[in-house]
Amino acid sequence: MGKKMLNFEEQCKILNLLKSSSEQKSIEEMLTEFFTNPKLRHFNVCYSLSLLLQDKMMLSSTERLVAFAVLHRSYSSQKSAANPFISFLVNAACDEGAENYERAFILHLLGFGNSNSSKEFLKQSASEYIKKFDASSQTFPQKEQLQKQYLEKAHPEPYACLLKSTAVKNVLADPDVPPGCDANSAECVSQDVFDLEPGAKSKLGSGDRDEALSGLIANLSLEGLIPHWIRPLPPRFPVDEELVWLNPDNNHELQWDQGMCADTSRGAAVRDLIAKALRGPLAPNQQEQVLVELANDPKLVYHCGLTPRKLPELVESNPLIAVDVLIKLINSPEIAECVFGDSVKFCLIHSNQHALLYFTVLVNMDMSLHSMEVVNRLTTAVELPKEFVRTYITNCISSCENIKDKYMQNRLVRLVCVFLQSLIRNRIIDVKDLFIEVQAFCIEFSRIREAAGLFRLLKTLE
Amino acid sequence: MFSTLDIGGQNLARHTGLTSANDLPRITVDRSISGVDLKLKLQLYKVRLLLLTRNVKLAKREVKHAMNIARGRDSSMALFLKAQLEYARGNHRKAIKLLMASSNRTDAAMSSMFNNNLGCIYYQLGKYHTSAVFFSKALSNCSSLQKEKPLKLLTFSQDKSLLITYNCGLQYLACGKPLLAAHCFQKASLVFYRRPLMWLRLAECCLMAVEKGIVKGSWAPSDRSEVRVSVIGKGRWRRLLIENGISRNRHVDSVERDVWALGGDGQPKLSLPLARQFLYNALHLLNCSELCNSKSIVRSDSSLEENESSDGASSKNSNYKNLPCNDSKASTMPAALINLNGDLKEPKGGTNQEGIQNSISYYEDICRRENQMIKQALLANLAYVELELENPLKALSAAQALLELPDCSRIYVFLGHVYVAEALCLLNKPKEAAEHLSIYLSGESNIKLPFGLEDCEQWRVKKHIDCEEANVGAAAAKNSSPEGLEDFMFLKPEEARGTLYANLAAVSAIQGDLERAHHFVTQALSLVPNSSEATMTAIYVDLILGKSQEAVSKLKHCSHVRFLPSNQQFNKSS
Repeated sequence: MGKKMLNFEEQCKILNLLKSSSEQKSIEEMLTEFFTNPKLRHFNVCYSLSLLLQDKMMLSSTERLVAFAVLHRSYSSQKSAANPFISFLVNAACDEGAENYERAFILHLLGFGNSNSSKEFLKQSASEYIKKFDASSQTFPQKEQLQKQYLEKAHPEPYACLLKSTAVKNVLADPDVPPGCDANSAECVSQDVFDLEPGAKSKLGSGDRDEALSGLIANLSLEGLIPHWIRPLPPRFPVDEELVWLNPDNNHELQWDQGMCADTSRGAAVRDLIAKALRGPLAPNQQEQVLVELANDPKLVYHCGLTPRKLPELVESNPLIAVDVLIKLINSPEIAECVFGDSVKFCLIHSNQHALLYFTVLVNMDMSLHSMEVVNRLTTAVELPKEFVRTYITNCISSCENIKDKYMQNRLVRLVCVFLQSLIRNRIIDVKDLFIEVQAFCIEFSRIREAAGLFRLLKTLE
Repeated sequence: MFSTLDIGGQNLARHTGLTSANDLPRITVDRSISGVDLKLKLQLYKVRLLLLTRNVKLAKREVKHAMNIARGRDSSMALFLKAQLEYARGNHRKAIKLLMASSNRTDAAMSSMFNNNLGCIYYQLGKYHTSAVFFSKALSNCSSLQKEKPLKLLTFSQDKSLLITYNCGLQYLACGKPLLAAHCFQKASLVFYRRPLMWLRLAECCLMAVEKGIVKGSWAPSDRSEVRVSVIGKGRWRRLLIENGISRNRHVDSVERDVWALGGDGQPKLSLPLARQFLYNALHLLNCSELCNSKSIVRSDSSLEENESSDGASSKNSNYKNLPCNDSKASTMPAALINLNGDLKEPKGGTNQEGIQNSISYYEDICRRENQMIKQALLANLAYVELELENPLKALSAAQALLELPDCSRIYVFLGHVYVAEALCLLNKPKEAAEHLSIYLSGESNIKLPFGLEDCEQWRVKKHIDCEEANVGAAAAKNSSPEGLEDFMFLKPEEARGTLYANLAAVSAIQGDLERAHHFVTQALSLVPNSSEATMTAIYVDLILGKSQEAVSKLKHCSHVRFLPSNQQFNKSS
């Protein structure tokens, strides 16, 4: 499953190279042949070879020499320090456990010591090299010396994930041999590996070796073995109250408002009358008609054509109708359609809110007998918000003070006094709230009989 | 409440006035609503409200009252509510009895609800397959209802099939069927799309599908939990090649790059990138609702004050305006109720009002805690997904956000530390990674339990023992084995400890402290002997220490190793 390091062509190439190492071809020849393919991925090839070389038993001595030569040749066009396998080569050259000819061969490859004869030794075949090798003629330098010479200018490591760069080789030897026989013993190994005569395969295992070798080459992967991290999967979120329990709904059916939209004709008469009522007093029978129709249809009040702005006109012309309309507005709830965002919801707004608009207009309109009468009737019929009554009284008092016409002023003051007395007697206002204001008013207009009467009433309440 | 009543009364009065011929039957029905019926209805609504706010105690009292009123009438609604109450209290047996007692099961709508509720009960009992049967019955009831002619408005307005489908999704998830579950959740998303929890469930479907290897491009389940070893060569030449099987982040470069890639059946293909998308959706919704909640709390408080001082005409409107954004269940309720209170001028039934107010604030608390839990789960899942997708930086920030949450449950704290540590390790900061794991160290080399059994309580399937039947129940609980094995879905505390040991071993190995690594991994293997990861780390440490013999014997003794003959491998590769 893992990514294979070598493609099929590369596998064949390596296998052929290794096989041919036992032939009499010169090493140079083999290398040239090996590197003819420009598509060869040098790193992958070298890395596989280095993995095979690490396994001391897997490759024969000639194969090892050729493999080392490939490692070196792949990067020979660059400085030795740039060869990614340079430390591997240096370590191999210093490996005390390795055969001396192998170490000498690597030193030759690296061009250590005798640079003049550098290429000569490659003209012979690998087996010739081993045969001709004279141990006494070779001296082996210290590891430090080699490292100094070849690794000095090594590049700093490029960024790599630490977790991955600490990987180790993931191939393990697991010899399947009868107990008692040491698989790694020198005799065992020499029997097979040093069987240099081509074609004369020993019965024990050399066929197996080829199979193992090709298997390994086919399966090697770039990834080594790394320490593994346990990454626990988070638990599934507990199901607590998440399941939906179903209960039967109440069958609230939609109720059609039959009066909505349908009754334009029925409302029309009232609308006409109301429009007329804004301009002047209605005849008693007309007035009666309006009141009856309004009583029959509680909703009519909302589309009879009256708006808060038109209220003052209605009050002046037809105070009785105004009182009736206002009382209806207060007492009946209105279903208003409110649009919030993208969803339409029906909600209840108590009619108070709607009626409030009318009240605001009413208390702020010019003082008159009719407006006062309307307010007075309203106070006895429904409970008005206290601050509205208070504001109205304040308005009344200030209009009395501001009026220029003496006659009109007297009239108004008397009206206000009667109005206030009625409010106080009916306990609609608390005198304490307005005591000072009303007292001042009484004193200012003490010449008027009704004001004096009001003053006395205040005194008795004190 | 009172204004609705007013309207009811008025409508009745008005309708008598303008009766037209075809209105007649309905109006006679309307007329027959007696005071007692109305009282019952109100009482039932109250119980529903209390159940919704999970005030079981008060609901119990009120439902008794309702049953008294309902005497001699059709009480199926009351019975359903009572069953729900017992279900909420964990008295599942009693809940079943009450449901059975409800008459009127011939009606398709009723029987779909009946079946659904039974499904819920059996789910809570851990009998997922039984619950599946009931849920699918409920769904078929629904569909037969939809086929009824003539079509009625109520059929649509009271259609419950999407809610039942959501339950189905949960049940499939519990049975380990992520594809079916995702299909259900996707359908139910028409209703639940604003619920963070639904998106979390969808993400869980993705994770489960990936885990089970159902998704194209991911590993088969065996690949993830096993060490795969190729056996190459024979005899003396035999070599073992350990595949790096559990370096498993391979879904990244699969076709799933296109997050919303649809399969042939128009369903999104479950994948890790899709899981990430779902998790982001959920987080976004959660953050939104948190924001709205905090705002609405401030606002509704101020509006309460205003209501007391003035008539509060404007404040009420502002309350309503909150509604659209307060979609999370936490906040719609109180906003609406405060409004109700505002309208009610008379102090009516003071204690009652208080009780409801209390249960609402109690419910708000529950919701807040639930949302916190969901957030922890979301961040933990997100960190996991990002790690799987090889984005250690994003994983790190998610896991750190998780650790910064207030009152984080110990399980999620543990996950947070493990994920942070792994992300740091992937970012080449093994030292900091080790610090995160060392939080659990006591002394030099001993690891404490990262959480206790009590922390897992929420995750265990509650085998509720009916209060009345404690003796019988205890015996039954012992005998009954859960149907599905997916019941408990997380590491036991000891296993979590083993995980910490294994990961500390990995970090130590990377840092080159092989002695420590060896110590930790030995501990880990004694706690989680089946963990392939711990085995791999142990083998790694052995190899680095040059003990290849021990490594081989560890491989051979680990039960999670699969040895593959090499020729099979060769064929595969060629």
